Amino acid sequence: MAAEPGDPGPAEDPAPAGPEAPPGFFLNGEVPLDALPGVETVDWLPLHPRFARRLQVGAVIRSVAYVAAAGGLHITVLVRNPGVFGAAPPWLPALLWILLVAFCTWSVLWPLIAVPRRGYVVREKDLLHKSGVFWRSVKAFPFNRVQHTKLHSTPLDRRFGLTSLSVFPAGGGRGNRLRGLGQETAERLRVYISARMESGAVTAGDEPSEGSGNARR
Amino acid sequence: MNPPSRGDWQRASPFAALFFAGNIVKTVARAMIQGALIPLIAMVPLVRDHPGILGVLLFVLPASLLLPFVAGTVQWARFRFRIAEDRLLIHQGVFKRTALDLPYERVQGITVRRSPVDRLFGLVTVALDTAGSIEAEGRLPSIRTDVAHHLHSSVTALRPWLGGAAAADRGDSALADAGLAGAAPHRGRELLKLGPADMVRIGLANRNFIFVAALVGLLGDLLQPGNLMDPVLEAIEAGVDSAASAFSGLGALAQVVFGVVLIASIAGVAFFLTVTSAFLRHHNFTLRHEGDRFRSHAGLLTQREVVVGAPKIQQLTVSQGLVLRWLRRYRLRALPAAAFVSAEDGHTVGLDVPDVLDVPLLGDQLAEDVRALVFGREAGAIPILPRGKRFKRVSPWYVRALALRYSLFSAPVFGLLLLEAWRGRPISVSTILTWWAASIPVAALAAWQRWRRQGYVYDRDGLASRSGFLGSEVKAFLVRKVQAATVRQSPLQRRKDLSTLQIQLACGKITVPYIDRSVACALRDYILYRVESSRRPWH
Repeated sequence: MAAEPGDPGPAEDPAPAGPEAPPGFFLNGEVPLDALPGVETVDWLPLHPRFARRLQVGAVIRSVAYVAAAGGLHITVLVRNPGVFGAAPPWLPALLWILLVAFCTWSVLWPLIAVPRRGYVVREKDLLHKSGVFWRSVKAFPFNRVQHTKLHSTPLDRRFGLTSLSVFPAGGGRGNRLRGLGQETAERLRVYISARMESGAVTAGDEPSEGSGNARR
Repeated sequence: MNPPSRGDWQRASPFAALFFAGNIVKTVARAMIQGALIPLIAMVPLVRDHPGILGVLLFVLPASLLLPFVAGTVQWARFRFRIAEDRLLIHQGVFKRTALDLPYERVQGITVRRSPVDRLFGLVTVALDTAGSIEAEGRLPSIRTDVAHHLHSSVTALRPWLGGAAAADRGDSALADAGLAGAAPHRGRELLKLGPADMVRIGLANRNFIFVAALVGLLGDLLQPGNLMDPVLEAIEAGVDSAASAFSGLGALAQVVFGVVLIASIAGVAFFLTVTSAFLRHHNFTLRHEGDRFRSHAGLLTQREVVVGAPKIQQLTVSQGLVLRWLRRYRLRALPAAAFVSAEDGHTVGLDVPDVLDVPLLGDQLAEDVRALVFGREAGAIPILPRGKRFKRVSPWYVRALALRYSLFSAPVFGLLLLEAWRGRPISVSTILTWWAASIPVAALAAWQRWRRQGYVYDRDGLASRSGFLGSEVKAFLVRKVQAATVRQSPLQRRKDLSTLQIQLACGKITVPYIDRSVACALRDYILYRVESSRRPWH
């Protein structure tokens, strides 16, 4: 924030008004990092119990499509036109089939491993989302930076009573999507975030700065 | 024809068709550079071997050249805009019709451009730079200057800090011409003015310089003997033939001299192209600071004026390549928010590149001054120059991770070579394995160099991340403007208790890799605290 010399400027963010603070003077006290809330101590909420099953059903549908396409290709190329890949080693089709079956099996079983490791936490000021089995990540979205939210559900999601909630901060792209929420939970979450967004906008100018974050909860 | 009254739906000037056609050409050219350039180069020997294809190309090429202008005309015919009291409305699109509703409250900057055609006919192209929930920039191509003035006054009535952004558009076209040529009496302080010598420096520092040189060399290599497509290539072939025969007859010293001259010629062509490009884009570049906004003006044919308010800037990027390091200069970019998200369906329709404040050449003192003007009293301890001593290094394990990544990238190439060798190709397996083994230290060396450049520094208000390979780049921002924060851990990082901190700003992402997990988590928590307790607007 540019501030011209002589401009007293708006109050700085963490501006604790200590007992000896002269009126009108700018204070900017130290904030001990240890006092800030960490995300390690939060109780992560699991995703909907049927979410893993929904992902498995989706994987099965995709696997059937892949196997059908591969079978069609196999019949077209190797059975009817065996000369097309005459130079290819004879074990190559078997290897490709093994890889395809392994991939399909992995994609069907993977949700059982990945879904229990996903979770989310709704705090007063932000939404936390963790994911990943090998490459793990914890994302944090402050509500006062969220531009808008979106609920999204495919026909398969609706069959399992699930909905995805997308949170869009500025510059967010498509990646901030929380999948595997129950429909009612997602709607309540969306309403809550919208309310927090609006209250953040309304009280942006008059809320006491320090203590308004998660640090003072 | 009576001019439409203000507030009515209006068309742009018919010359806007050229603007739309230009956009189509630019999109196609970008796609070609990104994905289709190599196939195009590969077509040269194809045409050489099969001259019949040339006839098809001669038919396709003119049609493809005409197509953007037809499409541009159709787009112009579908383009309507309305300057309302508090918002700009744009209806456009042929197959996919879009309606843009852009409240002036969201406008972050006004950009004015004048192409040679615009200047010839007293027109102006105005773009309203925005952030947040809109579908695209509010860009009005080739409109009359009085309409531009009306738009400007409407916007500044609600956004007073943008006042003067399009001062050049006030009054008649002559004043606009004078204003855009830099003669308008702007207030504020001139921070920088670049001259012709600086254009040469910018051309030298252009990273495309090496790319263009390589491309010219590659094309020269493809036009080798045997190319009989047309008289031009025949002449080149004859020239190459005679040069080759003469070359083989020369002594060793003469061959070296000839090689040096050839390389110098290619470099000369590349240098000419990049310096020309610098003149076209940055001629008479001036940077001014007026109140709390920056105004840059530059351009030889198409002149461009960018106005960005300092509070709207999300990130400062200062980069220094090898040439700039030699010249002791830097390049600075100030990035405003650039998220274009559709409010209707929530889809992000693309990260458009807004008219960022781009200072192509500046010294270290001015870079520090701009940092102070943008950040004000905040982030005073954050260095903006790559050679700052305060940068902390990331964990040395980053070297191993990068070397592993580079080796994995090269593994498919060597694997394919091994397969070829196994099938009896001339290269022996031992040779390939030797190359592979030799590539590992090279990858490690490259990783070590990247690690040396990588660094980060933070204070109470800001954070800066430095990265690079041969050159360096520093990205600095105020933590209260962060949009989201992520802490990641790979399996290797988990074993060593390290993490990668990724910060999302409204203009993109910044990554601080391989730092202690406790530091990453503490930084993330502190950033959240600052964001959530901030009472200041972030844009």
